[in-house]
Amino acid sequence: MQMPMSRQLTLNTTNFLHYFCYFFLLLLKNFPHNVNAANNEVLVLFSWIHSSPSPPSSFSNWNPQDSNPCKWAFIKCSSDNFVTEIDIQSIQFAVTVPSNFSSLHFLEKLVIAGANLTGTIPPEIGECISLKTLDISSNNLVGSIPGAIGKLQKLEDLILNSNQLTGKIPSEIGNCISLRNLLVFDNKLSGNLPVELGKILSLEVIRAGGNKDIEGKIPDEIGDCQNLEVLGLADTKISGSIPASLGKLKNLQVFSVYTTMLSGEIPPDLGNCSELVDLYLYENNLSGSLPGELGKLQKLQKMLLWQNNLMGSIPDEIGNIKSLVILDLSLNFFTRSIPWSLGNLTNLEELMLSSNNISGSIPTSLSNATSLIQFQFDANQISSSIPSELGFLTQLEVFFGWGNKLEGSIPAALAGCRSLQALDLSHNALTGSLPPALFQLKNLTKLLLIFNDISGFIPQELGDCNSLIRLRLEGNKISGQIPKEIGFLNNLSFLDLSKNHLSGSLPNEIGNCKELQMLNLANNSLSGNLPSSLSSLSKLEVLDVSMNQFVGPIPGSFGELFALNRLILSGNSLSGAIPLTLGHCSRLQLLDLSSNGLFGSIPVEIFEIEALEIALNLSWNILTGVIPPQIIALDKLNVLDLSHNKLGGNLMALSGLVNLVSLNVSHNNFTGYLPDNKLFRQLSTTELSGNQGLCIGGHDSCFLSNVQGVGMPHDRNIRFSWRLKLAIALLVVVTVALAVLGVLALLRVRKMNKADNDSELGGGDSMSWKFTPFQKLNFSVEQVLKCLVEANVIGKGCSGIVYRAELDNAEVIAVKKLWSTTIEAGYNCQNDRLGVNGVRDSFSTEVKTLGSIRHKNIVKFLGCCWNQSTRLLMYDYMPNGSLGSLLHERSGGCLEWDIRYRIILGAAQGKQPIDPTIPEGLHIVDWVRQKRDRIDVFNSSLRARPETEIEEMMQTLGVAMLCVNPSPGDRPTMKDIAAMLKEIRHEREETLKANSSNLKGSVSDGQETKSSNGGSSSTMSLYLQSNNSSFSASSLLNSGSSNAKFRLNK
Amino acid sequence: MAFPSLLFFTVLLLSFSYSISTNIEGNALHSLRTRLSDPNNVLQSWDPTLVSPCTWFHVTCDSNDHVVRLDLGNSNISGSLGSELGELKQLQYLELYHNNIGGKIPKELGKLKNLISMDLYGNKFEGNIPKSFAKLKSLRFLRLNDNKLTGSIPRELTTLSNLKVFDVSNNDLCGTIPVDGPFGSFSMESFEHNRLNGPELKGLVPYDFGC
Repeated sequence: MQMPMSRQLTLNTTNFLHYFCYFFLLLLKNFPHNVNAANNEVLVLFSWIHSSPSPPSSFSNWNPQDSNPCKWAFIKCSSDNFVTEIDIQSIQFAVTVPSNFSSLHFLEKLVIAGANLTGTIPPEIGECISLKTLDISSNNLVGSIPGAIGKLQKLEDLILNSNQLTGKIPSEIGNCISLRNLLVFDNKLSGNLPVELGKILSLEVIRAGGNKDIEGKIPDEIGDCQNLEVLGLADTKISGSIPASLGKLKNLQVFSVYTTMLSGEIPPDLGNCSELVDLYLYENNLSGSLPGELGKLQKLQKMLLWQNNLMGSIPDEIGNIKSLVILDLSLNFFTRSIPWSLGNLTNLEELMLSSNNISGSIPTSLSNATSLIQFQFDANQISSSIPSELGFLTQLEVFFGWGNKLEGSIPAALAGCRSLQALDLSHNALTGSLPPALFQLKNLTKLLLIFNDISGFIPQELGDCNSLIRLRLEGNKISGQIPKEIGFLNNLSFLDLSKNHLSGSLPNEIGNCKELQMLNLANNSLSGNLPSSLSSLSKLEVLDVSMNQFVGPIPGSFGELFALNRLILSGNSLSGAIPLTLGHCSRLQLLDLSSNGLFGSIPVEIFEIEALEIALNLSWNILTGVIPPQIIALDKLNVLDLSHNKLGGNLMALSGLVNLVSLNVSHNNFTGYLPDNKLFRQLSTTELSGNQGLCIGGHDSCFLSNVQGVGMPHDRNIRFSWRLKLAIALLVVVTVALAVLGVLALLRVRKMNKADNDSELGGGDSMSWKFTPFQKLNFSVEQVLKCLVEANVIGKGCSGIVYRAELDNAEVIAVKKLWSTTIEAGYNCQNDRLGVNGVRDSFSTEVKTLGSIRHKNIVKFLGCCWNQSTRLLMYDYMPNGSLGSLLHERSGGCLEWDIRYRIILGAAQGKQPIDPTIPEGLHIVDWVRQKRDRIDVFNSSLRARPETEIEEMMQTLGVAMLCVNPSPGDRPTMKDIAAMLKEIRHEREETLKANSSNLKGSVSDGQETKSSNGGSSSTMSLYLQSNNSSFSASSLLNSGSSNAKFRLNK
Repeated sequence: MAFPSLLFFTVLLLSFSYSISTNIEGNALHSLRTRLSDPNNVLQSWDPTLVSPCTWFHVTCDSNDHVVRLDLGNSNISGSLGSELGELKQLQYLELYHNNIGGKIPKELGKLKNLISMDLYGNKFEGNIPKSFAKLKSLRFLRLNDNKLTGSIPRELTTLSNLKVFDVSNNDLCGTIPVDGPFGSFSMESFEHNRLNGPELKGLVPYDFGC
């Protein structure tokens, strides 16, 4: 029997059982009331639950010995002991959906919800023809909804929500003529809604939201589902307009199609859905006006239409919807005024009209909408005054009217809104003074009146409103003093009184507002000293008192403002020195002390503020002294302004501020040259001017390259003093260098003497080993040590002996034992540039670089171990030999030049020794350097290559030699290397093109014709050559050639 | 009479667009906040009901109330970034270094035409470096080091002529290192600890060699 494809996907055991049961069932058909039928159900159910790796204990009474499962947990049976119900909810057991339940002939209700079911919905479900309820929601089901579901003509509830189902909702669903509830939301379904849904006249609930790929229109045919109560398609890609046919849905209670792509107008027919309670159409592209017919919806409670393109006026008829609780029309283009009729909505709790073009006035009738909790009409064009009648709204908690053209004064009657928590009337044209009654509101947490024309004083009643968390009166015309009662506001976290006309001193009591995080008093006429009580505001993050008339010193106690992020004291008349303690404000990102009368030098402590990155502005003071070199610590700083002071010295200290984007040093007494970097070269004259001794010619001659530290200006016009300084500096450098070398040489002699006393390896065994694995390793040092015998030696190099070590777990690694300091027998390693400490260093250098590098061109470094005399490095063993052995020991074949070229490239890219057995890089370098002009650097077999290739080899060698120039500064950049290598190849290709017939003859397989990259086909064919050679040792070459192959087969 | 009314209309339009734009920026930052987990409450002041985000902590605006800086380095925030950050059209500094932010770097950051500095280093970003960064013509500092970025360094970044500091070290990038434009002057340290294969060799080796 050929098994259908889909069944092969399910578990074999289940399959077997299924067929077994099916066969069994066939037998039973002749004996429909045989007691064995129940046995079959026992078998089916028991085997299903035991396909779970660990069936939950709640299934413990599922006993396979029972004659029927009717007493089992979660099971209900008919009077003649056939299973009719399986109801398992919120029990986690990872099994698949049973495909063999079709043999449960009388099953009417199958609920396995929240049970971590996996796999697909088996099409066999269609055989369970008695099913009325199928609920397998909140599982991990994948795959599509099988069309076989259409066979379930008795099905009333199809509940598949909250799975990972994909594919379309099958059109066969239209055959489920008894279906009442279709719940498929929160899956990954796609495609159109099947029009066949309209055939299911029994449908009451369709919920398909949360399937982000369901698209297309709402089918007109849905309007035929006359029993439909819920239509949910939110958060899908449903588009098109709302079908007018939906007006036929006299039972519709919930119409929820938000966050989709609906467009067009809202059909007036919706007004006929007389049972409608919830209308959720927000976040769509609906346009046109709001039909007045909606006013007929006498049961509507929530109308959420925000974020659409609706326009025109808000119809008066909305005021007829007495049942309305929430009306949200925000983020549309409604015009004209708020209808008077909205005052009739006595159940209305939320009236949200923000961000429209509503004009006119606030209707006083709204005072009748006494259930109002939230009234938001911010960002409109409303131009009236605030009706004092609104004070009757005793439930009102949130009143947002910012961004309108409100005028007149804030009515004291608003204090009648005794539940008010947030009042934001910012950005209006309100006048008059702050009504003291407002501060009697016991629940008021936010009072925001930013940018109005409010005048008068801050009433001392302010102190009564200690519920206040945010008080923001920025940008008004408030005058007088800040009342000392402000100190009672012990919940206040934001206080913004900036841009007003406040005068007098800042009361000491401000220090009692312990919760303050932001204090902004900028742009007033405040005077007197800055109270030192400010320093007790330990939560303060922003302190801005700029543009006032504060005098006296900056309190040193400001250093206690640990949380301070911005300190802006500019534009006052502060005097004295900058307190050193400011350096303790370690979170400070912006420090602006500009335009004061501060004097003295810049305290270096400021440069200890690691966080200081936004700006440091000390301009327009009377600061003296030089820029301390410690300023280099501010390496994150973006803006530095030191202009208009009396600072002197040169600007070289600024050269290290790599993140500086804006700099102004004008109008000081700076002298000397400019650091030669991009920032200084881009500075305009105005940012440098007013420094008499500063070279700002605007041309190269003023820039001093800081690479040389004490270096010299670029022009030849060097002053004598410069020459002298240079000479002295050079002398100092040379002396220091000589002294250091001398000390190092002495140290080395002592080390050598000491090392003489150690035996080469023997001592190592007895001494304790230190072991640093760079990978997870499954062997011990002892195992490694056992293998370090002569028989396992696979190579000797300049830096040590390489052993092949086969470990207890049959793993094979390569171990490199570095020569101890005295053992350099026969291997002359002394002439490396590091000289005195070369060998000692080779250990730490190799460990340091290899341990941290995961470069595919470098043999994988496993770890290292060492004791006093011996150092071992452990690498992956490369069975075909290392690069070193390829270069020097490989019998028979010789590396093709092309491969060598690529190895050079790879090595250049890795920039590190490639392999444990290759002699130390420096050694090679010296060897080549000695022979650099001679071709015998190359292996004799290579020397037999064609002349063009030898030419290329010589050129590449030249590049290599440049790269190992003893002076790092003279080495070429990677860009240069790339350009040079490319140039070499380019020349070669030119030659190759000339001799293309020759080349083709030499390429095996003729694959070069497949190259999609015509321009570089000759290069590709060269790669292929390497691919065809017998190499498999080096990871570099392997990956390289496979890469080339891949490119060709594309 | 036509001229004054036109002027009035323009002023009206400007004031309207002003309030909308700060709203957009505030909304963008607010939706960023909803994506982030903020155990240290550094975003506590980010109140969406405020008129503009300019008074929120760690946000800096210019004189026109446009957000120019977002300073959330070392803030112990986690979560991910979304496309909404692309709405901060005037942003110059995006400082999110040393946090636990993961997910992909949204390509919409390429819309930040005025960006001078983008510091995303020391996070858990994954996926590719967006090619759209090539549109950040004002960018001077781009530090993406110490993340989990994969893929190649977009060659398109070589057109960023103002780029002064570029660091992608300690990621999982592959391919070759661009050599054109500002990349000619970056030190190798900026590329360390990746799976990069050295400098680009145009025409010789595919740009994404080893990817």
